[in-house]
Amino acid sequence: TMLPFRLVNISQQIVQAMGTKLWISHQTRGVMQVASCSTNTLTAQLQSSQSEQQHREVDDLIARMQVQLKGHDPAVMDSYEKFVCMVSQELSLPMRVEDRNRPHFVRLTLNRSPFIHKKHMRQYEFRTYCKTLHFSKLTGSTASVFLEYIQRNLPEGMAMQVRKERLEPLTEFLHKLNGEDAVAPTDSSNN
Amino acid sequence: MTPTGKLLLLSGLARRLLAAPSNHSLAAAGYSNSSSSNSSDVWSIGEGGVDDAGAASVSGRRGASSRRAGFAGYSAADVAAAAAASNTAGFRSLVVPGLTKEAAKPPLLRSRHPLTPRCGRMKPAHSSWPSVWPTARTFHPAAVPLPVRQGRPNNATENAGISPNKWGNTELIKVPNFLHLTPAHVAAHCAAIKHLCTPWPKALDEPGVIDKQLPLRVVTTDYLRSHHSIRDIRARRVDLSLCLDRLVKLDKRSLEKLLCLVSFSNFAKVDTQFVGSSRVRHLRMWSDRCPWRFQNYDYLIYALSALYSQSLRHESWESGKAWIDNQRYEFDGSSSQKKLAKLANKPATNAVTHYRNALIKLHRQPENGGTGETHDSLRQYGRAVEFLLGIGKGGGGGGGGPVKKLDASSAQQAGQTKRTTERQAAS
Repeated sequence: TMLPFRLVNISQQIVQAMGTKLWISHQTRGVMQVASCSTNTLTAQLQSSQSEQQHREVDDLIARMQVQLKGHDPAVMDSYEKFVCMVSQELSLPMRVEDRNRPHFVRLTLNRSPFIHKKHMRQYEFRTYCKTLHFSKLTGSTASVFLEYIQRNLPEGMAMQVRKERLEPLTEFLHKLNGEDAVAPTDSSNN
Repeated sequence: MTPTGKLLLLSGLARRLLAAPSNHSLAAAGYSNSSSSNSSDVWSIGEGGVDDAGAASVSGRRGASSRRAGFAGYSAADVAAAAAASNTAGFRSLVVPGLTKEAAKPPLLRSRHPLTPRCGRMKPAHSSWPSVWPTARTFHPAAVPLPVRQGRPNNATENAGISPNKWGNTELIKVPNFLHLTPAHVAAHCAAIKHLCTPWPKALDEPGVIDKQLPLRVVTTDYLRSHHSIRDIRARRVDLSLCLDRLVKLDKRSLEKLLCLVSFSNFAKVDTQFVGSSRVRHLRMWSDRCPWRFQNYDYLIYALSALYSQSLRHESWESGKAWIDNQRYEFDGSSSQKKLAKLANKPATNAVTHYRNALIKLHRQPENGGTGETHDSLRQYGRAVEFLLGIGKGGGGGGGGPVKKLDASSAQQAGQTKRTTERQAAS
């Protein structure tokens, strides 16, 4: 099966699209060469040295991705969820939202007075709301583009965790143990 | 009374209090105080000297009842003409506040809405909200043409019981706004970046393709939060999972060795799932021992390769493996099997099979095909033992079982061991 090829410098293009200054400069990493594996470092080194110009990097394949959002203000989180819904519709990424609709409480009971008056105390609480967005079957490029755009627009006071499940073929060594030929998705012209 | 009317009244009063102007020209013109004594004359213009000055066009409608109406009867042109006429004659020009057009003075205080609110002056055909509000920005009440309100008054008297408006509202400034992420913004941004996305290959949707071509599943997590550092120590962790069916060369012995090696490690485990009747085993490994994510990934690939290659190798000393080293309970070689051989009454084959199955079900955990210690499995074991030894309820009706009724003759026989029978035979 032919896997998609893409070599992009995504950050710059997104920044230009949004019309903001490039205040974070990073290149998206993570386009794995399929045939390379650390057990056979010599081969990997040879390939990487050859492939600077000729070899096209293979795109990642992400079976599932979960974006977990945490915040203290439910109204802001709902607005952000609406924004991400809009983006997923524009980029045609099916999305499922999981919301427990119950925050996690951290409560503190502290003295009201700095000295004595122990009967009089004050109670504080921190509420952390959580929302998870589920995606499936994305390529690495699509995920990078989507994530960079929504992360640049993450409002202040909100945190995000992104969990990606990447699909990979067996390494050359494992194929050899299996007694199979390593199926490289690149063309034969690469050799 | 309108403000204009009030002003007129005041000015009129002021004029009454003031002395008559000692203007020679006025006196010459015949203007006298006597005319001002008439209360209504104070309000009318075309009286006395003005008439004498020759402004015949000015007509005065005097009437105590229609004091204010007297002014309504005069047109602006008449007033201007009268003023001009009086000027040319050398008189001071009469300035009536509210009627005489004066040069506009600059306002002392700048008012917020000199004309109308901005939302009334905006032209929708020519304005584009994304160009007005391109990026994230603190809320500005003048720039946002919406009558937004935020907050709640404590009681009905505070701010007339309604929410405070947007002007100088700190709550609106504090909360993050999404005015830079309206549907118009999002559509424009996504149209610009959509060409960078790649589609999911359709060939991978066919059943079995992913399991065969891409069996490894690598899980990584990224963390993003407002913090002085963008690093997060949890991001180094990598999880790897693989279906053991994909490791084709694993036979029974190799699989057992792999399970044994995995049980020794603290970073790997084998999960067993039952999909219908078939058993699916997944090898799951994780690593956060190295400081960088790619190092942990490399380590896991190495560990997987080492596990697989070592489980395929069978060393000579592995034959010295004892029954206790088995990964799961095996009946063959167990002490239960040895005790069966010592039984006086050799049990039938099916009784042994029942006993063996009951023991396996009792000892093996669910992932190995058993149930572990449950009420059902214990009861089944008990029944199997009764059947095996020919005792209990089941022993009475069982077919082909080693059933013996306990009567006087057989009790004696049952009590005899092999040794006693041999002695008897010998004697």
